[in-house]
Amino acid sequence: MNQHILEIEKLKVSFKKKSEQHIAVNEVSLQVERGQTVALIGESGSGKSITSLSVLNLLPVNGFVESGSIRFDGKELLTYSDKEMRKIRGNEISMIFQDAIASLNPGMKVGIQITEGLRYHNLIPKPDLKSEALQLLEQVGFNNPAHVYHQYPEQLSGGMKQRILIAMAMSCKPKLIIADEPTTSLDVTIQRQVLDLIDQYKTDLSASVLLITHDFGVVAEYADWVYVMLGGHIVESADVYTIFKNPMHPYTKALIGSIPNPSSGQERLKSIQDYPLESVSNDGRRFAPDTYTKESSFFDTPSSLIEVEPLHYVRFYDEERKVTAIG
Amino acid sequence: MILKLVKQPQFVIGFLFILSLLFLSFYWPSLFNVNKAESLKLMEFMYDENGAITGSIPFSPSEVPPFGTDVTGRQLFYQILDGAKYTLIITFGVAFFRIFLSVVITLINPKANYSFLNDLVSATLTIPTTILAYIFMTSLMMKNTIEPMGLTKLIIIQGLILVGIGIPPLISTFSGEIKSILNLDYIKNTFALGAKKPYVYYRHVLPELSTRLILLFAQQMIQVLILLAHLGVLSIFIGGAQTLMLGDIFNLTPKDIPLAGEWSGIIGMSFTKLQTAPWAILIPLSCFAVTIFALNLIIQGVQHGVEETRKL
Repeated sequence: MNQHILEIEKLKVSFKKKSEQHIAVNEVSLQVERGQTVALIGESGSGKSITSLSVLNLLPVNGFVESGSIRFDGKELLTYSDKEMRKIRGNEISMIFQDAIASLNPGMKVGIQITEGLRYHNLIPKPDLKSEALQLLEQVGFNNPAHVYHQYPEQLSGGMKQRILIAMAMSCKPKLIIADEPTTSLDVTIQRQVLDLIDQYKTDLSASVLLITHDFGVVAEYADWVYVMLGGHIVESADVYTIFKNPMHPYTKALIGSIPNPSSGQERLKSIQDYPLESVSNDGRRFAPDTYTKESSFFDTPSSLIEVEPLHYVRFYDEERKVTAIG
Repeated sequence: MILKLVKQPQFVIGFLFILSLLFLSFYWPSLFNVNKAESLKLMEFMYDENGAITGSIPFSPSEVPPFGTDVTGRQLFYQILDGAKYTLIITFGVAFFRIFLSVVITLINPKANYSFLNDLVSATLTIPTTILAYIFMTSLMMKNTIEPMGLTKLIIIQGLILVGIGIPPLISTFSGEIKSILNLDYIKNTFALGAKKPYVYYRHVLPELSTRLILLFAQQMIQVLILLAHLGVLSIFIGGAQTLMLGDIFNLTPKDIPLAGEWSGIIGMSFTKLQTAPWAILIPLSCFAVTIFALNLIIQGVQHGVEETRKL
């Protein structure tokens, strides 16, 4: 059995806007090992969500995969028809979206919505759907599932809605859960509950989680492996301990540096832009990209992920760029 | 939502008016205790007790209360009552198929941007729908004169013309709305769970669109009523017409009598007598106006109902 449940290789996703074409994800490669939580971290617009939507073939109307490969459990998903993909969605790969308020139909009772996945995949007989929904509600921490079953989303708090979404994602017992910033719209106390639920599911069913986030605090607590994304590129990847102990790319350092740390005695919290990318090098190589400006001609100058220490990869410009930039 | 609508006085008044009109239209002979054929028969002259002629067609509302007669001598009151069902059913059918087909066409390929159609719709906005309908209808009537077709076939083709000319602007409206609904997060979530498109359309998109559909349906009914009134003025009869020779033996003139009893036919038939018998045109036109008013009340009621739901 392949040790990786998900393998993305050199994925390139673009968006068409009239006659122009914009690259959103540029040759991204990542792997999710069975039973692991892999974090994909980066600021808004870095291409994290688009990468995850590509896995489920749910890109927006004007988005398309230009090249690359997405293998799930050894199967190449990019060659799958829509019908074949429907069997995968919800059943083998589930997604938890970031906006719990918008991700539930306001006109439908949550109990009905929870079992929608089970209904599509005919996993249990229709008469048993209600009891399954009650069980799922209990599983995600509701003390009074029978009452919640009949509630409409607007009658629930943000945290409760997010738990409903988790119950929906877990309903078909998928092998991989893609959690797209599942705690963004929640307050800190609820964030932990939600992430613990996802983690518990992973442990109980030996499932895998692709956790998309921009919060390094969350990464530190729950992830086993980290991919850092900037402007559609993976700029650094390593296991979570290495990333925190020895971050190399200035952008990774910027993200870690933006975590509030009261004991550091900093007067002002640093923003990402406070960490310059320009003129920073390592062992004679320039980190790529060396600008936050995606429009800059240097942003997409050929670059590669280099293994700087065992299983620690950092993006540097290829030879020519190194010569012109430094030389 | 239905409970909210029932609480809206405008909706209730408008709805009850349309419902009462339909009821009266179907049951007027029993309600007024009259014979339908007798009440709708042609009457060229009015006689006194001695059998002497006291007047000739058309009779004014003071001569034959309450609405007088049309140019063929048929009582307008009964014609209006009897024609209401045909007018409303034709209007309802045309509006329904316009909405239904537009939604279906849009849902077949919701990702299409219909830019060509949008350009076409905006370019043809200056051409009144009545003119378009008139051009198609006259061609059809000419064909019908040369090669007569059955009443049902003629009504179906006329209905298709009325439906067809209303579809392009509706597709243009729906494509934008459906696209924005399909971009809602909960729709994406449903697809991410493995739902099929028909399920998503039936379970999520149509309920989301329902209020808009009711409003557009009522608006379409109004547009069709206006179109029918205009076509009546232009002497286009839905269901075709039968030519009768009317007048005295020295001055027989051919007259087109509509076969279906809807209101626009009454207008078209009497339009040449606008100066001498204005009631024969103004009364059916007023009926169109009152029905449109009732439909506007329904629209207002729906809009208020939606606003109240949003406030909650």
